[in-house]
Amino acid sequence: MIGAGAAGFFGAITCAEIHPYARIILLEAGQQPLAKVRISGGGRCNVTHACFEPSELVLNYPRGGKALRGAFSRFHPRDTVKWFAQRGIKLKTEADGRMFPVTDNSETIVNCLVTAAQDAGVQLKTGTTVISAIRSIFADGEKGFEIKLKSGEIFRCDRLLLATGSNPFGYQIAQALGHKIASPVPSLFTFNIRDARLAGLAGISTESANLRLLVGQNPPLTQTGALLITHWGLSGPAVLKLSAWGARLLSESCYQATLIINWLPEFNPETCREKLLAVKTEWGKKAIAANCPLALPRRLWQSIVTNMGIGAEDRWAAISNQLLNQLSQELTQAKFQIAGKGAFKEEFVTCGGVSLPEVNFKTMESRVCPGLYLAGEILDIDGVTGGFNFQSAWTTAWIAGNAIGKINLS
Amino acid sequence: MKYICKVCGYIYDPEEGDPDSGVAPGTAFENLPDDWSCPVCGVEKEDFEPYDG
Ligand SMILES: Cc1cc2nc3c(=O)[nH]c(=O)nc-3n(C[C@H](O)[C@H](O)[C@H](O)COP(=O)(O)OP(=O)(O)OC[C@H]3O[C@@H](n4cnc5c(N)ncnc54)[C@H](O)[C@@H]3O)c2cc1C
Ligand SMILES: [Zn+2]
Repeated sequence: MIGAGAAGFFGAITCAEIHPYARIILLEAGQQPLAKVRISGGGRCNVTHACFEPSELVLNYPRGGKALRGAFSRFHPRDTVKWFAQRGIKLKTEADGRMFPVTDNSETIVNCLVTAAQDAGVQLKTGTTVISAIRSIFADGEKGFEIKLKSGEIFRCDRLLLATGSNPFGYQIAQALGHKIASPVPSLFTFNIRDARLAGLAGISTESANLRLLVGQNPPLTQTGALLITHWGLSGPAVLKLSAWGARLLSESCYQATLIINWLPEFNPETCREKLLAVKTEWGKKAIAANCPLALPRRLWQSIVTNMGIGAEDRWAAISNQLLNQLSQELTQAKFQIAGKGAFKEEFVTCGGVSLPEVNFKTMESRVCPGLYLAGEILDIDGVTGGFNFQSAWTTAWIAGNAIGKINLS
Repeated sequence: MKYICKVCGYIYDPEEGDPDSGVAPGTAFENLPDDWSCPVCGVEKEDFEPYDG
C-alpha cells in the first residue's frame, strides 16, 4: 500500500483486521505518517460530519457525490464514529455538525491509527518514496506489481493500494498504470477582493448572506451562509462552499470572477426598497450613517452608505428616491470583483484525480488495471469543508481494505 | 533552487517565498527558519528535497 495518510492507514488496518493472513506493507515518503491528519482542522482533526443519511451526505461533494452514494450505504459517518469508539476514541459534535475527538487534539486520531495498524500487524516504512509501480508477470507465473523505491530497492506484491492523496507523483503512478486523471486544481479557498466597501472591516462577519458567483458565461453558483470579511477579501462557510463548487471554473478563469452579495437574504431589491421607504418616513430626522435600520453589522452599514457618497450628517428625510433605490441595490445586489484566491488554513483539498468511472466502487478496484485499488484524495472526489474529505477517505479505504485481502479462488 | 515537499508535492520557490507564513520573496530554502513547515500539508523542512523543474 502506497501512502500512509488517512486512506492508506484505514485501508491497511481494515484489510489486516479482516484478513489476518494478508501481509501488508505500508510505504510512506514522509519521515512521519499522517501529516495531514496531524494538522487537519486547525490541529483538532475534523474527523467526520454528523450527517447520517447517505442521500444527504452526498450533497456535500462537488465531485464524487454520485459515485459515493452506494459506498456510503456501506460505511458512513455513524460507522466512523463506531470505529473510533471501539478503539476508545470518543467524538463530539459541534453546533455546525463537524465532529472532533473530545480531546480537541488531532494527535488522538494519529495515535489511534498508528496503534491499530501496529496491533493488526501492518508493517509501516516511513522515509520511503515510491517512484514507480508497474504491473508485471513474475518468473513463477504469478501476476502482480513491481514497486520501485527511490533508494533503488524493489518490492513485489500481488495487490496494490494507491492512496497517495494529492501528490503529483501518485497521479503519475496511476496514469502509468492506465488511469485517466482529471487535472488537479485546488478547492476550499478564500476570495481575494480589493474593494473600498470592505476596507478596514477585517474580522467582521455576518450570520447570513446570499452569494452569487458569476464565472464567465457560466450559470451562476449560489450559496447562503455566514460570511467573514478578511484583510484580503472574503472568507467564511458560504465563500468556502462556493470555492468548492466553483473550483474548476475558477481555476479556468484564473480566479477572476464576479460576486453578487445580498447582505440581507430575507429581502430582494424591491422589498428592501419598501423597507427603506418606511424607514425614511419614520426616522426622517436621524442621520443615515449612524442609524442602521437593518440586521447588519454597524460598521459594514456605515461603510456601504459612506461609499455611496452619503455624508455622516445626511438625514433619512433628505434621501432622494434615486439614492434610496441605489441603497437597496447595494444591500441586496452588491457587485464585487474577485481578483484571486487566498489560503484557508484549516482545511484544503484537491479537486480532480483518478477518473471515477474507471473504478469499481463496490471494491475500489481499478477497472483498467486488475489488482490495483484506489482510495482517498487520489480519486476525483472532494467535499466541502466540515469533515467530508476524511469521511470519503475512511469510506473508500474501508471498502478497498475489505476487498483487497479476499482470496481469489478462480 | 526550488524544493518539493515529498508528502504533498508543494513546491517551495525562493523567488516567491511563503508570504502567508511571513517568508519574504527571495528567501533561499536553506535560510527558512527551522520551524517553518509546508504550507500545504504541515511537514517540516526535512521532508523537502531539491527540485528542478
Ligand atoms: C491543512 C489541511 C487541513 C485539513 N483538515 C481537514 C479536516 O479537518 N477534515 C477533513 O475532512 N479534511 C481535512 N483536510 C483534507 C484531508 O486532509 C484530506 O482529504 C485527506 O488527508 C486525504 O487522505 P489521503 O490518505 O487520501 O491523502 P493524504 O492524507 O494526503 O496521504 C497521502 C500520503 O501518501 C504519501 N505519498 C504520496 N506519494 C507517495 C509516494 N510516491 N511514495 C510514498 N508515499 C507517498 C504522502 O506522503 C502522504 O502521507 C485537510 C487538508 C489540509 C491540507
Ligand atoms: Zn507538503
